[in-house]
Amino acid sequence: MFKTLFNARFFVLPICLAAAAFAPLHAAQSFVAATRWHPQAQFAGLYVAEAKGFYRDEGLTVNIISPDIDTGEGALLINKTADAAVLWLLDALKLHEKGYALVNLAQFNQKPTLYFTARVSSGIEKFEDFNNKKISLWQEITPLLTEFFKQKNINATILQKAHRPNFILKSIADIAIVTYYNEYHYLLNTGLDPEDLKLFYLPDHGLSVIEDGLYMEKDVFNKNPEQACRFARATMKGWQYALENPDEAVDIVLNIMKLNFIPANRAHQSWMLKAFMDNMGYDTKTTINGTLHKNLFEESVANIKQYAPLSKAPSFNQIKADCTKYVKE
Amino acid sequence: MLKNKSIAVYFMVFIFIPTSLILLALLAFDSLISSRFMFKANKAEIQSATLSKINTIETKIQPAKTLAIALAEVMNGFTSYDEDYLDFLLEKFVSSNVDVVGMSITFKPFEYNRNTGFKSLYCYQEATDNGHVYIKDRIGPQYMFMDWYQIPIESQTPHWSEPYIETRSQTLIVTYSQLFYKKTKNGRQIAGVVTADLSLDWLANIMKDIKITKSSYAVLLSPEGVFLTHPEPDMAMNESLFSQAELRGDPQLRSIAKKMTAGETGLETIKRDAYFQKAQMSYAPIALNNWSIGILTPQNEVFGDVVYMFVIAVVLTIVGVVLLFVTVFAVSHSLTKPITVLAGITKEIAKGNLDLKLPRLSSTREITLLTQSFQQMTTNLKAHIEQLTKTTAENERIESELYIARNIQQDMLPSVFPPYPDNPYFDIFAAIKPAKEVGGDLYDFYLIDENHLYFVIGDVSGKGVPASLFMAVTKTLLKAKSGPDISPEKIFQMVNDELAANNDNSMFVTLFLGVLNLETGVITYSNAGHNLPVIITKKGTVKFIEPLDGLVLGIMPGVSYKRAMLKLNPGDRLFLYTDGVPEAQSPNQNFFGNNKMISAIEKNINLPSKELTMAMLNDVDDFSKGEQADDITIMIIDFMKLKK
Repeated sequence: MFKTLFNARFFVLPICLAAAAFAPLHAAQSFVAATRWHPQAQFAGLYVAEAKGFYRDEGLTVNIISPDIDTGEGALLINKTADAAVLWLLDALKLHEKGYALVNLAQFNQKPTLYFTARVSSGIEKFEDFNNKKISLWQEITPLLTEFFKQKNINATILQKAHRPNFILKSIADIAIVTYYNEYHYLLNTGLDPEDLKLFYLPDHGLSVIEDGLYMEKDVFNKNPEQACRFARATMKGWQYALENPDEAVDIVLNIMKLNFIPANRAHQSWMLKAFMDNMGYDTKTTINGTLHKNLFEESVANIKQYAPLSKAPSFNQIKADCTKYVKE
Repeated sequence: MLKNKSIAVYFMVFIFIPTSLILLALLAFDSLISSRFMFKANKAEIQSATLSKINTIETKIQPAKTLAIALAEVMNGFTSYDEDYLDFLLEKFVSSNVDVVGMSITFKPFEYNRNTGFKSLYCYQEATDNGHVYIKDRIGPQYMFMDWYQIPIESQTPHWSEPYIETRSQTLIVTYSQLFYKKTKNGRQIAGVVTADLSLDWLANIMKDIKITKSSYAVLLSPEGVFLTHPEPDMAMNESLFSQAELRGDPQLRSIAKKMTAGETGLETIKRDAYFQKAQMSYAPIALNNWSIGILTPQNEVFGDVVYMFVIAVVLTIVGVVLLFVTVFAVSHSLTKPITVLAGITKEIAKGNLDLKLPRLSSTREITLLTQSFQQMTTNLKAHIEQLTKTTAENERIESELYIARNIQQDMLPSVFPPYPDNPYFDIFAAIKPAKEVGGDLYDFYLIDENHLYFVIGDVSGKGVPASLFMAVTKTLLKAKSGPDISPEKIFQMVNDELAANNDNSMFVTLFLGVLNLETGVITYSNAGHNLPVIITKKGTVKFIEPLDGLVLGIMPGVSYKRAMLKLNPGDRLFLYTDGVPEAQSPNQNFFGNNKMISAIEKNINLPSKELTMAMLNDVDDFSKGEQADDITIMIIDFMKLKK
């Protein structure tokens, strides 16, 4: 994941609503949601829902928090700091392996956004050329991909980074893993043109895993499923609004980032929002409804299983929170 | 195409237009040169400012590198490490430069010692009321994934980080990482990195005071193109030149960003900037750490002076051109006006209105001269015309009087020929060709009685009216004094006395008078200084009669004359003439002469008298080429037969 240019601890500024004046007649329920990374357009749905009062309309006072650089994915969830968290399916499955049962309130991402990218000048043209090269990966995906390369008979040196793929700028690494909505655009904005970069789509090479979704611990969900589903519904409304008002959504995100002293610019966040939302539609781009699709889920699990041991992988029905029982869409 | 147009048009075409064109050309040339010059001057100024800034920045940044290198050198010398000593060293180094706000000694896994996987010692400065204090700290194992560690370790070269905002101090920091080594059996191996964190809080101020022109500003780019400083505070550390280029859809800006991050130097004109329409962007690298400085100068300020000058020049040119136009127009008008007036006046004069007074046209010297000449001409013309009118009137008067006089005189001389068509004994033909309308020659004849023919021919001295008057008097007197039995010399005597008595003008007349006896053919004659007649015999001889002298008539009274006689046979002719014949002059002043006359008679001898006369007159005319100086008279008496 793309991290900021910090090397010290990430300073988290929680977003609190001064809701007193605007609260509905009954006391608003407090809810904490955690993003997967520092505030950015990847989580626009949440920020928009909060800024436009969709959570408030659902009777929720939502505090959106972000993990710092050292916090592992999902840590805020399992240590009960957050009620819900945006996680990748991969993260959720890892947590399951550790014994935590999660439910999926909503699935944002319907189409993987992961690519390997190499500079054209490096001469890498096909996947097989990865052999004997240096590949820079993120920490959380390293075990999976190490096994992945091994099975593909790619003998490569893995360099782990928590940061942006600048290794390939400095020719320290030849290949880097990127999301289309984030690191790829970061590379474009260092002066590389699309024609300078070769992209290898992970699903084309046997690893197709859906990514961002909204998760809760199962037992937390079961305590108040209606509230959780309201939260999910409002969040999806936030995404819908962002789809229809992208410029305003970017304004909201930039504002949050500024408050948190995170370097941000409109060009990058606009790209991120559009690219992320492009992958939120299951069949047509205009449909964002947050459904976790069984086939996508099962395909992802199967893919992961090839390269990582999943003994405690939940079934589709186990992980999917059935909000139809509690709220109308 | 340019013919016959007003002077104003000529002026316009040949003075105004070329001058205006020259002015405009000068203007264009001048602005071109000025703007080039300004551009050059501006470029030089920008470049010098850029270089100066680069120097300043490098000087400020250098200490981080120097200190890190120095500490790394110290570390290179160690074979084992003492934590306290390293802390001590760190504090010493950090405190040596106020801009170096922190340093670390960070080990590769297990390099500190065999048992310790991760070790990173850190010391940073903190400001207190009493000055700076130095705090000892440790960095956790996540340093493994930090750029300031990973990049130098993986690339095995020293590294300047991308500037970042340190959360603890909220300061803009750049970190320099220098590798340090540990000696091994085979040489040395990388043991870790020494880092120095440099505070960049002085950066904004330094960049702020780059002012080439009023609104120009400078930006500083990180190695990845991120704005380290920017006049708009929000842009710094958030935007990069790339993100700006993307936001504005400006490919040129993106290309400049690429060049800048590649460490190039250049000067380009960019079309749109956040603040102004067109700007000069000058950029140059800070080689020390791959930053890049860009200086933006709004075009209109660079050329502000030039534009200002240009505007002034344009205004002046326009004013000049307008003035020129007005002047040319006024001048041409002032020139053409008097000429037009003169032209109008001339028209009037041409109509005959000579009394027009020419106006005083104050204008150029030439026009004044022209006007004066016109006036003079008009005056002269008027006088001349008056004179001419007078003379013509006079002439016409004289002409008419002369015409009348001529007619009277012609009526005096017998002019009907043949005079006695029924008379078988003789015939006469006479012709007079006066030099002017009235001449001095005379001839006359009449039958005194039925047997005697009186004839006379004569020539008054001079020509014109006086001669003709004298002629008239003489003819009248001659006829009056003639009569039967009065001899020719007696007639002469009497007429002479009369003429001389009233002759104040000393005019005289030559005469030949004869009386032909028709019964005998004898002519009794007298000659008063006249040309001798010629006898043309029937046979065809032509000869003068015997000379007979006698004084011309009219000189003085009391002169006596002689008498002589000749005989004509039937068929003979007597050719009488005045001196107009022999004394006719050719253009080269030869006289016709008696010989020529005789020859002419002989040539035409077979012609009847009239035709002979005409032929003679033609010959004389041919000879004198029409220039008749004197009256010419010819009279031929044809004696045809004796009267029985």
